[in-house]
Amino acid sequence: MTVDLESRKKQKIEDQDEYMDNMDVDLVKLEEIESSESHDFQTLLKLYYQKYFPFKDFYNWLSYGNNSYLRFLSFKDSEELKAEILRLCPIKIDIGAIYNIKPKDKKTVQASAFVPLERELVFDIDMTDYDDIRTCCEGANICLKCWNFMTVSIQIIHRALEDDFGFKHILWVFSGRRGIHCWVCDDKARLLTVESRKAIVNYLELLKGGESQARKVNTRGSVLHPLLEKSLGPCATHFDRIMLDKMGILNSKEHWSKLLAIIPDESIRNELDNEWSKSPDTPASTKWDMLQSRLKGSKKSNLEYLARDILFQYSYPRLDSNVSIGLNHLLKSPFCVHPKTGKVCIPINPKLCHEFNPTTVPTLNGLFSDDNTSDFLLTIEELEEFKAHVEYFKNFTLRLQEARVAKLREQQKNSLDF
Amino acid sequence: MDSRLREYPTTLNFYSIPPTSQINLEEFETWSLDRLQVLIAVDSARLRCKQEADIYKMIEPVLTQKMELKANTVINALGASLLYQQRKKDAYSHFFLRLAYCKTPDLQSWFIRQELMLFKLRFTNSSVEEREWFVKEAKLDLSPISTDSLMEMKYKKEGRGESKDEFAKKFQATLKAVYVEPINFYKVPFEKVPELVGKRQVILMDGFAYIPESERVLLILNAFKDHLKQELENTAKALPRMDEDDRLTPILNSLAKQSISKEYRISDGDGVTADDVDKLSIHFPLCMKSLHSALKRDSHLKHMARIQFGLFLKGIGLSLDEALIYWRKSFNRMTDEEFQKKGYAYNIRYNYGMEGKRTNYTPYSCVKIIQSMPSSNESHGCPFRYFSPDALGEMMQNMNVDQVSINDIQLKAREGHYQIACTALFEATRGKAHEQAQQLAEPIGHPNQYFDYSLNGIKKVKEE
Repeated sequence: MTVDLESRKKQKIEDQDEYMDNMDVDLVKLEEIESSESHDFQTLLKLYYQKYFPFKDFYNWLSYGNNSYLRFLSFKDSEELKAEILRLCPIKIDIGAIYNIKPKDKKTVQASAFVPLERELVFDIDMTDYDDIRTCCEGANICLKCWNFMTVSIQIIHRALEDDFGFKHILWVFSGRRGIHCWVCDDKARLLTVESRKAIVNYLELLKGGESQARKVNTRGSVLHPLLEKSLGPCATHFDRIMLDKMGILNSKEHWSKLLAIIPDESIRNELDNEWSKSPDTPASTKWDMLQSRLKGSKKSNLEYLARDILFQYSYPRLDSNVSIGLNHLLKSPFCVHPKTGKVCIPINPKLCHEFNPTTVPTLNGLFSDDNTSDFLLTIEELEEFKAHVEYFKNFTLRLQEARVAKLREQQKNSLDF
Repeated sequence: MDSRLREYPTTLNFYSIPPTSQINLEEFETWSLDRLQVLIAVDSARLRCKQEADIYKMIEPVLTQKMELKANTVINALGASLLYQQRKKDAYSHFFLRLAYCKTPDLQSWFIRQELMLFKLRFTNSSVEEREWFVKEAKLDLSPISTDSLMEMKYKKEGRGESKDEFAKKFQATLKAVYVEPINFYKVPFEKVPELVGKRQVILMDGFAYIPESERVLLILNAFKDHLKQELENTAKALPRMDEDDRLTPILNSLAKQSISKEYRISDGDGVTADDVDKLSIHFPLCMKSLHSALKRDSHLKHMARIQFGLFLKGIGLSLDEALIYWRKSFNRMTDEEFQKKGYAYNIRYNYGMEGKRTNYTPYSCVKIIQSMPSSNESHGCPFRYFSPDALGEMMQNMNVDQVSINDIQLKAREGHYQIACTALFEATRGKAHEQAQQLAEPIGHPNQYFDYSLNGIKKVKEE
């Protein structure tokens, strides 16, 4: 059994050509991080891999039934994978596509001959894309208020992937800092062409236009496409409870000016601005009602449904489309530890996504802190903060396996029939 | 139906039955070439026009001349045997070209693109009777789903706690919002209709798209494309096993070359001297004209510009020795010593394959020039892409182009059709000098091609 495990060395000092960003499973070594705590971090990380990382389920997932061959890293079983990860103690485990040629041997063939064959359909939703509308935090920071953007996104995207596209094996994972990743792992999804991926992304995406464009949603007519019709409910709830109430997007001139800028009609814009400025303490829901009735009453066709479009603009999922369309984007693996936050990238059960709290996710330090010494005897399945997530991940890999077995039986049956 | 037309009942053909009767070599070659001309015309029309109707208009003359197909409605006037002959030629030539275009993925995809477009144009321009007949004959198993059954399916999946009537009413409204004409539907895997999915112009359920009757043509085109793709692969596999035929192989090879080889081959005939360059510059395309004037103005060109212009000059027949003279003279503010020291002579010899890697470089094509973006103080690249509309307009005014053409060319450039803008400029300037250049068969793909067309046109005028 050959083991060819790649570990990305410090790019600066190693031969640049050796650096491979198209690597399939990318184990990034700690040497890259030059922080003073790196030593502690590494010790804990090693302990984490040793004690907690769910190698077996991880292995079951990524091998997709093809035992002894985990992407390009060939391992006999999960034990061997564990040994190798422990040896390298990678700070980050990234997962990319499956290529026709070992990424290691990429240089030996022409660039055009190196092609990705298989790749999960992935989605990346990042909180920074919401910076123009959230009032609570900025940049890398998140709180329970803005996390609701992620919750709504999971609800909407998950439903569409299941009901509209017919996918069954969908894994949602906390990205470790300020967003979520989605892995669609059905056989059919892994073999999608770039064109099909683009179609899916375009179907799901609603917001169009960059920074210079104030109005980013433009739906037409009173009746919506079923996708949007079904998304309207979660979006409206989110808009009322979070945007209007908790974030107070209509409570101060600073915030409501941003929202009003979406209205192309200057007179309506000024009228609302004047009235709200006169009595800024009017409840946000009343202000929103004013805006809605003012726009409905305008009789201009492009304003009639504008309130609904604004609602969408303030709550509909914002996807990083490039990650989903291309086949060679790397995405952080579930259960690895985010190098900056120390948080573990745990899977999120979409049915319980509203209960997920990113601020209490287990961290490396927390796991091994002195208060937790009694827990140290427990396995990951027994740890309270991990239990549900590990269980969920295990079930996910089991369902994948069952589908695989069912498919094999079907094929055998068919071949016997002939 | 006339019995003679049993083999080809309509002008539309799915090309599933290969030719069986004998044919002589001459017909093999002329029919293949005729079809190839049609396909090349399709390719170039697609680049020039956006609307399908315009593409059809553009290729119609070629079609009529090379591959005319008359419908059954004129059978009495023309006679069944003529119709049969036309359709036979269409079918046979298609299969002949398959042999030439199955060899590489590039050739395959070029052939599929053109054949698919040709089929699409013919399909949309045929009569309803013909289309229905074709669909029936091609056995495409297209059984539509009625609006009611679609509603039933949807109700089973989603109807919770509401009456069927209520649900149906809402569903009708949804259908009207999504489709233009929601009557009958076809169920296809969503991957088959990526454009409709991307635009949310279909309803999706469990991975299937329900496309309306009006988009049925997409299914037929899909089937045509899949079938042709499969057949080309089969042909490619079978080709080596075909009896070694030294009569066919050279014909096939030359057929395959005609559509794609855009690489410019340097003419080695009459040498151009350093002194000729200025005189010949009236034949330069805009990208080279601007470099030529920049060189005159500054007595210098930056690295990328030197390569672009230098290789072009090599392409028009400037030998290495003449090139050294030309560049030395053009950099006239520089001493001999400086010229040597800065390695300009080395660069020139490098272009001619006499230094370094010793590759005999060929002149850059339009694609390459369009892609190489100049920074603010560089002058290479494609003017239609990198010049401001004003600068572009000014250059054309200096060439005495009329304002209507200038506006048209600027518009084309703005829309990103750089090669077409360049072709239009050629037509606006050269077209007046000599008739035969008024409409180019295909857009300019190479600056040296522009030069050749321009120069040869003038030669012909002089001969007359």
